[in-house]
Amino acid sequence: MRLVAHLDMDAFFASVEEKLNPHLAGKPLAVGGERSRRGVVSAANYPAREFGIHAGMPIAEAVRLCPEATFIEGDPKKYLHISLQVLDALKEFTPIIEPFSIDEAFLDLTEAPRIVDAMRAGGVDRGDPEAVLRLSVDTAHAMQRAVWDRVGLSATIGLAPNKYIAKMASGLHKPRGLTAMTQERYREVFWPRPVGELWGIGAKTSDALGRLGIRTVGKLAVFPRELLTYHFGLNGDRMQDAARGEDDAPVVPFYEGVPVKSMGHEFTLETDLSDRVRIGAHLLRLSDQVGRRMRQDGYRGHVVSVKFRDASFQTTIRQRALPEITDDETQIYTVASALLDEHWDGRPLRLLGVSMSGLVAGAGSQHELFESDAHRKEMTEAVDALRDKFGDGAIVRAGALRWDSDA
Amino acid sequence: MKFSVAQNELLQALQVISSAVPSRTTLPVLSNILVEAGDGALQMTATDLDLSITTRATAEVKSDGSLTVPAKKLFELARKLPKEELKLEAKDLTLIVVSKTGRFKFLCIRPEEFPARPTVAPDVHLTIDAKAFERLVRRTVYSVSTDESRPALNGALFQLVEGEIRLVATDGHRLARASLKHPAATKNALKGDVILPLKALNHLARLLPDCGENVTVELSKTHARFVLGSTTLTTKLIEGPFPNYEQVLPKNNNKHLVVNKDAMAAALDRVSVFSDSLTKQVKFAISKNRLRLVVQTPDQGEATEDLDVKYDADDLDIGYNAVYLLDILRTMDTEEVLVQLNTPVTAGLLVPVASGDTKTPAVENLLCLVMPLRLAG
Repeated sequence: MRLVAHLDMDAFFASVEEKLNPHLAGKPLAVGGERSRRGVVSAANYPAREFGIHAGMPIAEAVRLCPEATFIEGDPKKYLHISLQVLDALKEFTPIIEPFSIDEAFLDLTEAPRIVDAMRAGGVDRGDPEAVLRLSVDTAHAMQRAVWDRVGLSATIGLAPNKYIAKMASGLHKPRGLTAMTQERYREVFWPRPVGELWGIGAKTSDALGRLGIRTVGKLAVFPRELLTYHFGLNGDRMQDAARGEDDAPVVPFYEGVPVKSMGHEFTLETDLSDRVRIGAHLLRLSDQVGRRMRQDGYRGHVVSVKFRDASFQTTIRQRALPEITDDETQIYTVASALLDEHWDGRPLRLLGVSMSGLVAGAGSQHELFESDAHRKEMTEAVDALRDKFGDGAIVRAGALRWDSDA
Repeated sequence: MKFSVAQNELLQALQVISSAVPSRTTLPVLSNILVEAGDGALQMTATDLDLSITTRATAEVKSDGSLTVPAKKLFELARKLPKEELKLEAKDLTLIVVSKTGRFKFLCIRPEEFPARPTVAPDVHLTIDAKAFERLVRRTVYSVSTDESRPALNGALFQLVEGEIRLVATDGHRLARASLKHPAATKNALKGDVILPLKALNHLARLLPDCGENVTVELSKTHARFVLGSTTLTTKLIEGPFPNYEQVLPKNNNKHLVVNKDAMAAALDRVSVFSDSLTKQVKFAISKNRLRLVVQTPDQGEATEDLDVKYDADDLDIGYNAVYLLDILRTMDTEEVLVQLNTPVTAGLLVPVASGDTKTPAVENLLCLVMPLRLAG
């Protein structure tokens, strides 16, 4: 059998904020948009959850439920940095890691050396799911410790023969939970429960299933498949597989060492923008991110693409080949900026993206003739090192700050 | 405006200027050419605001005047007309071309909208042998950077130093300096760095072969003007400063290798069949009197070539971009090339080895520099 782990950081955004400001620990805390605005809660810590505050709830309502709670405006850059560190800590267990969201990841442990060794030492047969899961609990604990040692935050893990059950299992006991679940156990636990508890089935689908007389997971698992397909199309098949705990989706690592065709970042603007200076600042920031990611993963490329979408959702993508391969954000930015100027008619934009393709990995790099160029390379390396240590927000290009100023 | 002109006169003039018409422009009048009749001659101009080309054609002018005419259409018509006398006449905002059998009417734009030719008040005025100047351009133009983030390198530096006219171009990874002894270069009258844009260099390389014996060069702080027979090219200069390239010319390259130029170019061309299409990496493994070219590319295969050379220094392994070297070798016309090296991380110099039968006059000089690649793996 396969062995898949689903790792879910406990109340991630809120825990990061508690970690950075210990005075907040143990008190109700919600992370979301500004208190005065119409934002929603992105994450609540466990004390806040006791007041009924949960992710997705309008902030105004959360304030009503618990006026004394602390509300913090989220900082995605900070969370992303920590998220990357978590992934890095998990790398020692297996290279097959699929980041599923900023605070969740799937790991394929089937061939993980620790597991293989443990099976050999314990004389465990791969065909015995219960024995394999029992023996992998130690490794899962080690993963939780590794995450704690790296970022000081707790995580919950589900272990199972596939991604779906692993995800459902991790949801059972939180925080700091560890649940190993065979397919049989999954059916025992979930079949009596309402269909709405299944991952991927929301309120609307759950109502629609109810109209067919399907209220429990167990009922969904044994309902005639043709009828489900008739009512829900492909989704009907998927729902029944989910109810049965069947899933052959592979864990798809994006991480590294995997051939990549392009690397890019795009960004939906908070408000539609036609101010060229601010748009330029966004392009600079996106170019900076692309360059950094290429350097981190050892790629260089020679085709710059810029993407922009206007308020009517008309999307334009334009690209240009560079004379040589590069991972230098200044060069990426200059070309992206020129492409925008050539093809943008000034209409307000809602989305911007920059990407590089025509990538090569691990190519020999060209020595620089001019000392100033060599210095620029050294400076980029120094900035990368600072960001590795203190986070991507530790040092930013001054030009990239113009997007949130009024100047 | 009214004149008659031979079809081939008109076509030739249009061939000279048409490539200066920008293919995309926000200013509609730039898609037109300015046609002027006066002083018994016909003059036509195309510009993209940075660069303009004006040329003269023989015509029989009946009445003076000017108009701007859609460049693409006029060029296309001129190409399709037979060799015969054409009558052209401006009427209101149209130009009517009458051939033996046809009548063609162009919708035009007022000449006042055409950008005025920049006035160049030259600090320097030179006359240069056209063939020699063409060689200067061809021997440097390939090194000009097209990296838009380095504007000062998007052209070639024009210098008057040590009795020489020099053109220098670099993209930060290679550099070419071509020079020509010239009596007017004994004192440097240039104000600031004169950087000729790549576009102007490409036009010069195209126009110089057919321009007659000499070219006149006028330089001001902001513009350069080249008078090539009946054609005049005016270009804005790129704002400097150009990097101090003299500083990076290596002085301690004591490991000297002499190789047959054509043999090396052919061998490089063959091994680079196997090189990575983006990095074009080739390794030079140099030992006593031997140069081995090695290409090893994962998923592509490998290639080696052995060349007999003159070399008597320590063994050396250096990586290069094969295309850089081929570009350089193409600009040399001697039988042998001298390669001066030092370490695998510092600049290498290539110079043509003068011999009795060289085609290049002794008043010309060429120095090429190339940076190595950090070998992958």
